[in-house]
Amino acid sequence: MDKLKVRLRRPGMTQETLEKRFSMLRTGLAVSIGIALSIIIILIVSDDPALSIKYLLIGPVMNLNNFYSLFTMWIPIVITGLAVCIMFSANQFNLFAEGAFFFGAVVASGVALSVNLPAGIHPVVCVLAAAAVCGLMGAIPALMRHKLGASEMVASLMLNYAVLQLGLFIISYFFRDANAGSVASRKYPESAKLLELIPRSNIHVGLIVAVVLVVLVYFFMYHTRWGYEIRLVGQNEKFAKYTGVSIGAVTVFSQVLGSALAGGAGAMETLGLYSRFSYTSLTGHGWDGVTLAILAGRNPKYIPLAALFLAYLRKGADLMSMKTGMQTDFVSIIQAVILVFLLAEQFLSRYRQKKTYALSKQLETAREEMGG
Amino acid sequence: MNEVLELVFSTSFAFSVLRLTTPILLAALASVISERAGIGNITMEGTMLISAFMGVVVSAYTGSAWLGFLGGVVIGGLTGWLLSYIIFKLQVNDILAGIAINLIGSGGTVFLLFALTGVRGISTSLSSKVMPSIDIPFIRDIPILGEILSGHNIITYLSFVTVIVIWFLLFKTALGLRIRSVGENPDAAKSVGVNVYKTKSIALTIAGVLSGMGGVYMSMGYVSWFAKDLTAGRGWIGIAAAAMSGMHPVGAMVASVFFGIADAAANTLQTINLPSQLVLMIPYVVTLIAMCVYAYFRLQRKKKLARKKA
Repeated sequence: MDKLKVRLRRPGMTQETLEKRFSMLRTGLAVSIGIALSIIIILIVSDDPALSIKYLLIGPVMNLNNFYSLFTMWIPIVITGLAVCIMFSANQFNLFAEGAFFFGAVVASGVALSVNLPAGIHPVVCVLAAAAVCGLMGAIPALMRHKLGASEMVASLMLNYAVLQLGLFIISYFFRDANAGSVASRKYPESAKLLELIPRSNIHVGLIVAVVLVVLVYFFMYHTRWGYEIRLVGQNEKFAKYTGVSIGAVTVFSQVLGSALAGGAGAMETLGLYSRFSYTSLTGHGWDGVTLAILAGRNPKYIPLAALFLAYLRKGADLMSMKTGMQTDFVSIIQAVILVFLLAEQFLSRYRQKKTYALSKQLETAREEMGG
Repeated sequence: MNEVLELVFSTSFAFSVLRLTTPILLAALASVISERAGIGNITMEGTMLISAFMGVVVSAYTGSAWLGFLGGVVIGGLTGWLLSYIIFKLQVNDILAGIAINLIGSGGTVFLLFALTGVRGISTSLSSKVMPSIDIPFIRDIPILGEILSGHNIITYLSFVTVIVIWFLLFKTALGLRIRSVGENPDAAKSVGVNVYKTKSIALTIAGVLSGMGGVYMSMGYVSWFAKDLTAGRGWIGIAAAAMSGMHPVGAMVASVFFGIADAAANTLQTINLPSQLVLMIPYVVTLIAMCVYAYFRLQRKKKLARKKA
């Protein structure tokens, strides 16, 4: 009994912390199942399983260059993760982040190639233009949902396919480099490129932007009225409505903001890593954002960690495919499995019940003892 | 302009409309039956890819187009069943579960293709079969109509037959009544002894089979190979078509033909001197506009009804 009292006196052993621990446990288990599954897939498919697994698990930290490129991959998906986080928090399944990322890169390329500005300002203008254009486009599915009651999800997916073609049209008709073999834009002027933080690492200023955005978005979502209203609408739209929140303004705003972030991420990606626009299809960064938003439980605070995990998995898979010829697309199977286990209410639910029951018993006995 | 009109009012254009309607129609029917059972099923795109892949692989290894078709349809049904398991037994939100299945559809198939053939992204190294095209006796001899209606892939005919089958299933059978009742009011259905989980699970499995047929059509009819993102959003367009159909199989057919026309227009206009990217935008932009128009009229109707009641 003494032991019990000590445990109870430990700060914060309440239902809330139990829930928190439980969701941590569930995330941890889901991720472990994902990793275990990747190892099983490799064992079945790979010609050289030991080497493949080695590269998958420790490849990204084996040398400095790999470690750098881990962060190169981390930057864009952190931002798209935040973008999807904001949209999903309002319970709006807008999947335009994928299209916005691509079109943001198009807009940034257009501005970079058609405007002459000094080095410090040029990329900023490119990124802001991309964010503005994509933010406005993100309003299309949002307004369709709010004004007409159409599915914002289907609308946003149609928009993804439409902006892909529109972007390719813009690049190949106005900015195409005739000397390049495939459809690609002319080379960006030096002034438009993003500053590299560490020489020859490909880590650009976007890293700082991403970190700042994590803090800003977290602050916005949890410490401002707008953020609170977005979350309120997401949790209970009717309640939000009765307390006087303008549902339309909040949902549309959340999707404009999310799309703008994704557009800016695409702009920074192309200006930071490439010398010209060379995408020919959608890039998948928006879908990664969806995975991350779910993995982080729609909380911006956990996005960086989730993104690091996904980037690590990707980089590991990339290295593996380079060294042993394994394909990298199996990462999406792993992503799907992790998502399912993470979202499954039933997964571990019996364990959770048992723990909750035990806790309430503990509290009861403690109260009795204190009373008696 | 004359050139465009000539292209659009040709028999080959009408023929390609039916050809392009097929996958959209099957996806739309899958969406209709899921929605009738009260489930937001968004897995058509992923299921179509999985089935398209399976059809190619099975037909290549067995040498039989029909076994490939069967393989694709069965895996489609299994995917539908898996979705129902994830949604109801593991209790995952249906949209998020759908996102997971679509992830498997897009990435998983490309990975498995590589694991099997060692080639990235396209299955041309597999000698897969194609489902037969059929010339319909008598009809093929009718002048214009024959050229439009005859000579299609067998799955195209199957898809239009399926409209009737699904209509019959939903509105004329006991199972259909159960499916509609669990969709409209699961508690009431439960109280009269309907097994809600089983019924919804059956509906999703049927939806999977339908998407599966659409997928097999893409890889063994529309083209003769499997490639990354072969379906190019047709599953999603199918969902949009279903949303405009009033959740009725015949409505779904009308809406799908409409999108088939948009798709065929894009294909046809590519042959004349227009920027191909802008032409390829047509189906998606048309879908967006059609969604708005439909939603607008539905809203007006609702308002009118509300006014009448008041």
